[in-house]
Amino acid sequence: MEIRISGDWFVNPRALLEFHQRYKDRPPEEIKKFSHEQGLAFGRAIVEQQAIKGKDESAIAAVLSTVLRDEPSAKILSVGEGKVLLRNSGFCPLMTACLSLNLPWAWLCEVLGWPFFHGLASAVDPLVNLRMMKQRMNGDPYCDHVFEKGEGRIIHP
Amino acid sequence: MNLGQPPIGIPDIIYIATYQAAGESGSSVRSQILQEIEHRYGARRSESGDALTFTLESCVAYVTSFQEDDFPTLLIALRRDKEPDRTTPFTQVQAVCDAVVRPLLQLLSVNPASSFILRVRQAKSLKEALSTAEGYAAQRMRSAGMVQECLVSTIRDSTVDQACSALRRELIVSPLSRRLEEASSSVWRLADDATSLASSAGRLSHLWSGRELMLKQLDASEESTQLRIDEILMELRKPAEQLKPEDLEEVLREVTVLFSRLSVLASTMRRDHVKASSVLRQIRALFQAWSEESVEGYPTNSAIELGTFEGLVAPFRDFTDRVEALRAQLDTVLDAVRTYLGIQGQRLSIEEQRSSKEQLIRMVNLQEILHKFEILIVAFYLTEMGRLFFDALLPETAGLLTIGFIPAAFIIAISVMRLLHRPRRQGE
Repeated sequence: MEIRISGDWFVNPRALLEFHQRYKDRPPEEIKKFSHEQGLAFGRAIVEQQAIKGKDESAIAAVLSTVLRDEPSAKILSVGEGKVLLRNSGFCPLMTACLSLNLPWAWLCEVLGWPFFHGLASAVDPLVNLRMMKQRMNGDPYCDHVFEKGEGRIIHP
Repeated sequence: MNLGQPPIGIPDIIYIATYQAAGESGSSVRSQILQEIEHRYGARRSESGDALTFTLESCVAYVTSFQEDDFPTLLIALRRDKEPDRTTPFTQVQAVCDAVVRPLLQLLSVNPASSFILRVRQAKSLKEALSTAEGYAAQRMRSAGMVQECLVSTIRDSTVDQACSALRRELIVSPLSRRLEEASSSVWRLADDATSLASSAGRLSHLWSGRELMLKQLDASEESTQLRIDEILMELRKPAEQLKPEDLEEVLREVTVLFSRLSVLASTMRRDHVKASSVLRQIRALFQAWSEESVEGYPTNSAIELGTFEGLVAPFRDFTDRVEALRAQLDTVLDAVRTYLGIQGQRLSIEEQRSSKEQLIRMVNLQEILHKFEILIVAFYLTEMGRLFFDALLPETAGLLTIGFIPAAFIIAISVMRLLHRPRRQGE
């Protein structure tokens, strides 16, 4: 069965609920791959729409800013030295959906959230790494996502 | 729950575990375990079919199960086959029971929502009961009290952290009645209460563990949301001419997103708080029925447990209160935006009024000019008529007479115009 999720999942708790119900037993790697591809397609569309040029950190920041324009809990804190630092604090949409619908927060971030963001950045540079410096599910006060030049993978601390 | 009087007399150990398993899967968990035990140990089913009695090594075992909401509870009780020998140390008896019960516990899931172990030893006096409990607990006795003619002591669990302290309880129960039947009845009544408590504790613990991550995030989330609210309010304090409509639109969009999320969070936590409070009420009622008496300066079990359970429920309420406080601040932001828009609207309407007044003055002026023109035209017309008249009658002096007639023409024109405009004014 092909994996699918509505494109507005980050503001649509129902989509997250259905996604969990359908795919909770699927191997996480399969779902991660799907989420990465969804982010990649979305990122490519933004690059084309906004005519974003280059492969550097400013281009990655531009893509992320466009996607997160209306999201009050996410902020790009720094862009430079080959890195983009995206911080997620406050009441993020995944956290709110997980709380209200009893969904597993860790699972959704790991198989959906992070690969999706990694996919977005990969639309600019396929070799970008996403390093999760801080994770709220581990008790940190915020999630710090660092996008940097690498081998194109997600790195957990 | 009503255990009644199971057919094994006074047990040496009772193990109670509550699990979370929704709906039908809960009853299937229970029946699977009972079937497995029945099959493995050749157990005998009770008449009602939900309890098993069988021999396990040197012990008689009794297993039964209950289900409350989505939480099945299993009870395993063991009694040594031989008549109780008072000379055998309590620790030794319990070690044997622990070893015998282990294979049965392995049939159960490893992660119960709560588990209670009741270690039972009959005593002749309170002093003997207390000494047994203190000896077994070895400095780890947390609380003790007299409940239903039994000394009930709780051992402090040093193996789990504070967050999981609601999960595991180890109690020493010493019935003080000399009559076996009375002692047995007291123990099983306590086991009944412990089963209810395990079920309630399991439900609370499950509710808590499902929300623990979020509850721990509240401080950080509240702080960053508060900072953002302060930033927005600062933005709104800018001089009116610096604030553009698109800035306000952005603020409104952001506030709407935050507002909806906080509303969802507050209502979810309120729902959980209501659930947790209802479980807490059951626990409170159970402890009230105990009317536990304190013993030798130890805090009572009910007081300590109630404190622990209240501590599990309180964070739900705190979360709701704090999120509501943030929501109230967002209301202030919305009020500020509304006030700002109101002032802008008023300013616009004053400007509109001013410009319409100016327009009215201009129109009145124009009308007056038109009036004067009308008078001029009529006067000119009359003067020309007069000139024709004078030319025909007195051609020599026609020019002088015409000049002399001009003021009269003006007076006639003004009078005619007044006459013409009067009915129009009356009509108005």
